[in-house]
Amino acid sequence: MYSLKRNIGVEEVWGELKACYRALCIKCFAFSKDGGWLNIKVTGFLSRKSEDQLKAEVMQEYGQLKDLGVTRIGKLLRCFTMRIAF
Amino acid sequence: MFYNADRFLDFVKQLSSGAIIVRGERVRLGENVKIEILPHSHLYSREPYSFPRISLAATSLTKKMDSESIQEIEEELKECGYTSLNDLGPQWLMLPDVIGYTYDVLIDFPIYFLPISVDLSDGEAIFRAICHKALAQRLKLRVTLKRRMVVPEIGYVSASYVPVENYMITLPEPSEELGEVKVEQPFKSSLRREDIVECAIVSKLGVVAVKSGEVERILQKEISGDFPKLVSQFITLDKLRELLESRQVGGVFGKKPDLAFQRVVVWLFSILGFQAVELEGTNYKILQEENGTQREADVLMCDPQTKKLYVIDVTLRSPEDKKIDDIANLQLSLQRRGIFVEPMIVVGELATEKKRNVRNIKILDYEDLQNILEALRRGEAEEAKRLITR
Repeated sequence: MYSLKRNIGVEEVWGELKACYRALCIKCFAFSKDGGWLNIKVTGFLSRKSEDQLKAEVMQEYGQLKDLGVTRIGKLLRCFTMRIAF
Repeated sequence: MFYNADRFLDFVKQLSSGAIIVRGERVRLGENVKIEILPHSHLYSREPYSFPRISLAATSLTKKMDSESIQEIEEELKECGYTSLNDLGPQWLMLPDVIGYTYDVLIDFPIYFLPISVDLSDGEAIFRAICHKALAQRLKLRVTLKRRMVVPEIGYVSASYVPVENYMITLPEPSEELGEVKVEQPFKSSLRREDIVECAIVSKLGVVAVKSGEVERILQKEISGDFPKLVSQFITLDKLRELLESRQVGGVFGKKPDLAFQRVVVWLFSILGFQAVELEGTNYKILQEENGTQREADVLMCDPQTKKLYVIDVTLRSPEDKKIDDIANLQLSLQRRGIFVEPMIVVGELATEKKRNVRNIKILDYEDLQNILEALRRGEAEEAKRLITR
């Protein structure tokens, strides 16, 4: 964005842009700690794409991690994903 | 269509509470989570266009991952061929540096607005952009004519640009969900070649985009290079743009808009120095495989500089998956014959969704063609070419 107003809040941003989005796709790396999951990083992508379209894309990406064996170390590192449809 | 939109704000509340629930599992972020809006994004884009993006960042002031845990994970990752979480971050999280960032959560807000061009015609500014239908009513376009004024100061004389005409215009809605909008604004003053026309798109969030140019440059219709100059004696850049939209070149293509579009695309690529052979519309577009399978190409092309070869499918509408498969299979078929080509689909409309496709086929759509023309108009033929070959 060229120049965003200072100290703008989430509600204000959401109020202006929400009509453009159909879904939010969340991805996360978390690691096992004290019997629970502790976040490493969460990234999220709001999109005008439908939840189904996002699901297809993410499943393809998850499939690649699976092929590489990354998901096999699930006791230690978990690749979480979820989608929220609006 | 957009029901329950406030589920997003519920999710943000979860973030603030220090934990999110993903697929029934609780993932802790830490305590004292600070949430802020950033004027840019740190993530690789998932969108096919370079739409402006802002982002939400959440940072916990307490939890930080200890180096021992990172080391433990990275040891395991070696079995998968990775030595660092940072190698995996771009692939899964679209984040270039997983370990380095202090933010715990980053969420992208694409702003579906992209300025395409500022033109001048008969003393009128013409602004074109790609815009989301739901966003158009929330955006305004400020068109300003700036003029160089001499400012006498003590001891010396300086010059600066001063706005001489200003207009604030509400954007029209595009006809499609994501489509082109065009605004025309006449100026009262007669334009001087060193004047600047500035178009700024504004919203309640701030300035979304600015596009400006000197009158002399905007009006420049001549393109550099002998061959482009020769072609432009017959077909100007403005005409080329018009033809890409209308798909009416007349002559034998009168009732065949698909072939007319193909012809104009080939003209454009030829102006840029590509060698192209049109096959669609003739009896020679078929490649027969040994097992009898037939493959088709609309255009064959070569970049004489890099010697790179292309097979191109030209289509008016956003391609179905089958079309993408067909051109990908033609590439494989040629590969089996020892000919290595890059497949490409050129589309006469916006093909946003299809740009990220499973077969990784390059798709040039309406916006790309406009950008190529714009680069040509600016005299940046190499940049125009790069938009095709990148």
